[in-house]
Amino acid sequence: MSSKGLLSLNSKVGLVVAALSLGGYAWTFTSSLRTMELFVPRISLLLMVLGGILVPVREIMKPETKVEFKLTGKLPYAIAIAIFMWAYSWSFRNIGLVTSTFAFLFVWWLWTVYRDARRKNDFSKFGKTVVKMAALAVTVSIVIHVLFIELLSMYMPRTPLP
Amino acid sequence: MAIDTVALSGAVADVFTIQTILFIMMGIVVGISVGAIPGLAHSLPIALVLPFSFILPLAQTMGLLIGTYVGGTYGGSITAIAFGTPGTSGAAATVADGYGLTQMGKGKKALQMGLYASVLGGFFGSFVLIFLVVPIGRMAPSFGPGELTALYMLALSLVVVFSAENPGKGIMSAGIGFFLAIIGRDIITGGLRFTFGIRQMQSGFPLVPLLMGFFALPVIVKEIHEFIKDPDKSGDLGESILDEAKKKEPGLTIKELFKSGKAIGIGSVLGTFLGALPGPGATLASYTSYSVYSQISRDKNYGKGSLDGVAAAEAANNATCGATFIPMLTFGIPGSSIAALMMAALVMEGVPVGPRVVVDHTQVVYTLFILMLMTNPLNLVFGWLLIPVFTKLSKIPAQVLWPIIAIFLVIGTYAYSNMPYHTIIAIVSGFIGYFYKWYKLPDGPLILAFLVTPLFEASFRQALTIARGNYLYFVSSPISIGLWTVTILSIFFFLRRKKEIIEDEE
Amino acid sequence: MSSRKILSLLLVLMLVGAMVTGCGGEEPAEAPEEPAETEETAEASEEPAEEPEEEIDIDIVVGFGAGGSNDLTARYMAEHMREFGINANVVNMPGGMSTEAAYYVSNQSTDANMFFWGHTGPLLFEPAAGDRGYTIDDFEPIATLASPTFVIGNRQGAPWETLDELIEYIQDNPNDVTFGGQGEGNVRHYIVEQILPPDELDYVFVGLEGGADVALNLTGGHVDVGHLSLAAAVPLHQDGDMTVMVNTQPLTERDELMPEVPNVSEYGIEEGRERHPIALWAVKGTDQELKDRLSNAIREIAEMPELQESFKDMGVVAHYLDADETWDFYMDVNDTMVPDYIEWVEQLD
Repeated sequence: MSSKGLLSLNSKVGLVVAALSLGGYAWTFTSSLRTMELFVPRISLLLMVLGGILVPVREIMKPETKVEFKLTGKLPYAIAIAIFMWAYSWSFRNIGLVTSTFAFLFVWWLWTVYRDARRKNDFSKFGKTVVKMAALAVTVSIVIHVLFIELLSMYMPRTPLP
Repeated sequence: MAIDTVALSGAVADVFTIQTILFIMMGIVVGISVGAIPGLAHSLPIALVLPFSFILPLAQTMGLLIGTYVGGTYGGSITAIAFGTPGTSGAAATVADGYGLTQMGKGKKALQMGLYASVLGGFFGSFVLIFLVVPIGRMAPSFGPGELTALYMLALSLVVVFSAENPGKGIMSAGIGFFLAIIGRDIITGGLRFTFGIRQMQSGFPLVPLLMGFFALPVIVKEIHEFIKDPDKSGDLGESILDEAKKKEPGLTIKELFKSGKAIGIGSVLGTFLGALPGPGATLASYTSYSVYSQISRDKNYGKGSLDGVAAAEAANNATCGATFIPMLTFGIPGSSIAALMMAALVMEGVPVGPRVVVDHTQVVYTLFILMLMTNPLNLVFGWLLIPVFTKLSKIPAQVLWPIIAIFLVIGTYAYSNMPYHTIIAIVSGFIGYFYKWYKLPDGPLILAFLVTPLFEASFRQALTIARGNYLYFVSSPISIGLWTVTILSIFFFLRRKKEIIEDEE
Repeated sequence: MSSRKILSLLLVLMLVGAMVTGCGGEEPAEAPEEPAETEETAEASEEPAEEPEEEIDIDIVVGFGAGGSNDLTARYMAEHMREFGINANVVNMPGGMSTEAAYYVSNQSTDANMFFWGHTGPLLFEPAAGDRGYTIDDFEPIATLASPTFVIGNRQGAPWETLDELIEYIQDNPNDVTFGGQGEGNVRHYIVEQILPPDELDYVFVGLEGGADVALNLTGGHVDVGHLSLAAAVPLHQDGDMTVMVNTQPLTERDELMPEVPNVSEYGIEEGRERHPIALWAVKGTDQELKDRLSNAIREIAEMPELQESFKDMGVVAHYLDADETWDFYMDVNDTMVPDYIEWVEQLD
């Protein structure tokens, strides 16, 4: 990306991966595993080193291969979504499948509806939409319950709420 | 094998009853529905219907099971195409092109291509099962550790081809795939590798949560991000859906189907071959076929939204359905976990599965064959009925659709093994997928390396032991020599072809 | 306008749900009752007459995926438990050679009604080899029911037919015989070395992936001798692709499925018996009354001809041991086999 800098972000990431893998490769020699067990791990780490080095080499040879990093701003979203997914997974195992499914979906939709209404400054349909979304959340929760618990008899720990 | 007409007519009488056909249909609907839920392997419903073999007659039990199997194998592709989230691991190869087409507004075409390719691949697999079960079955044991090492080298050579365009990133991707595959217990010695002292890591990186997270999380992040940044674009709640859905999308034309005939053919052949070998299964078959065809295809959109890509992958994974039965019916060796469940059902029905089953229980074997053939047209009917539903579903606004998919993903990965750890694996794999998207690493090498590594490593180490240090063992049989030759030739062929294609484009 | 859209959305979702419910739903409703009534009506009706017991729900955790002998034995047992008012739900928790499942059960409370279906592998050998987060002392036995039979067989056309002839052949032809086992450096490999001690006999041991893999390699002639489950060996034996030489069943000498095959103990190799019969285990501190009820049910199930037949077809011996016998058996393995095994593992590399 930096046209005048020594290395682009693309190349830097490649070199970082190479360095990490090289470290991992060196570390395998301190491991207590048998040589046979370390055969493929070593190949894999060496491949990552090779790949990491080839990225900047290729960029120098063919500078026209531009790489744009489009997703950069989304990392916080990724982390937030991961946390929510884990929180949901914890909550349906500890509180109850139907309850937490409904809660997670409804809270999210409530927020989106509210945000939408505030953005358009039009609260006339707010109540009606919220009720609709609540109904949808209930439906999804029931479908999930019927599908996973009743039909697939998925194992569930005994939870205080359904 | 000469046809035993008495047994055949008995089998026909068994299968063509209202009850049996109803059970097949029920199996297909359950299979497609469960297959379409991310994370849920379709071996789960098969395991659940297993107890029915205590009470139902053989034709009905097997109709239910085979219907579930075939429907489930197809069902995975629906969500892969409509939402970019593979419903089963076998459909992962369909994501790139299928979802690409959906984003171009050609979702319906992609879904139809997926269905037709699945049905055609399924038919091919069934026919091969019927006519070649004995010869192919006799060939399977010739693949010992030495031959398998050569075969897996052939599969891994596809990684090299994949990387031809951007060697650095391709090799890095393959390296990551190798590494993820070896985490956990050593397949032969049981020694713990790279578990970093975390107890759960002993069971390694399971395939299903890995693929689900890898493909689904980046899409979920992208859609939610878009919705939050630019709410107008994704449409209001309940506002624009119907208008969108009302727009008639053009379906697949016969011309397009014929154009992809070659892709379907290659997919069917590779799927049948890989399905007949114990072990690899639908995921490897679809990826191999997809990548082999990528080298032949001149479609510039291949990998971004090509009907050929969908056809090659889908034909291959459904072709494995029939082929899975080959090692089972010839040796009584289940080639996959699903075949093991089918075998269990047959045993419960009082049919001892083994090399003599074709002779001792000819009627049962014919029943299985007819059932296999019957499921494909029924799969076509139900798939056809479901396509409009899923085309509409994919147009639900992002803020409604994606949270629901995320929830299905979490429960699906949990239900797969009843372990919360698998949800974590899916999330971690999601970050790996996110890194891949960000850094623009190709995902093919990762998946191929991840699938083939355990197989390759085991065969290679076993071969070395049997060879007693003599490397000539690897080329000691005609099959090995043939496979090595094909490997070397195909690398040359593919690389040259790639060069031609690049030159063509310039 | 918008209500129509929401409605259609709901409809679509309901449709997907209904397809699954509508078609699958009719099934499970009628299924579980039927087997109880068809074959076992007599027994089922006798039981409650003596002592009407209330129905209970339990979970049986299996450490392997659905379809294997570990899973199927549990499912057969669960099926018959219904006749005793015990609604047993089989939960598959594959991973880490069953240690994941054992760890999960060991962390349950005593009133969770969750039980572990496992053998000496996850309960003794695994915790002895390294920290798995639990030991056998976290569990209490209920009863042993299933003991899978393993065998050693040779490929078609091998120049020996019995174990003695094989040993003789190896002595005469060092470094000629290839033995295909199920994995390397594990209990199964250890057992093979008890039968064919490598310091006396010069042969090559190759760790294959499992019974099916061993069967395939024997058929293809890639290995000369193999160690696999009886269930996998029977069809090949019948077809002449291999010959079963000896079984390693710990509880009975012969297996009814192939009664002509001798036990290793008949060759005087007592430590060549594979001692891993599968038992049902409860979390320590579980209600004694519940344990007794389960144990009594299993005792009667073990006698049912139908179950014995099903087990026989899988190459599994249905053999009941009560809680004390099970514990004694496991403790004997713990005191005799486990220390030798750990020593053996340590000298491997």
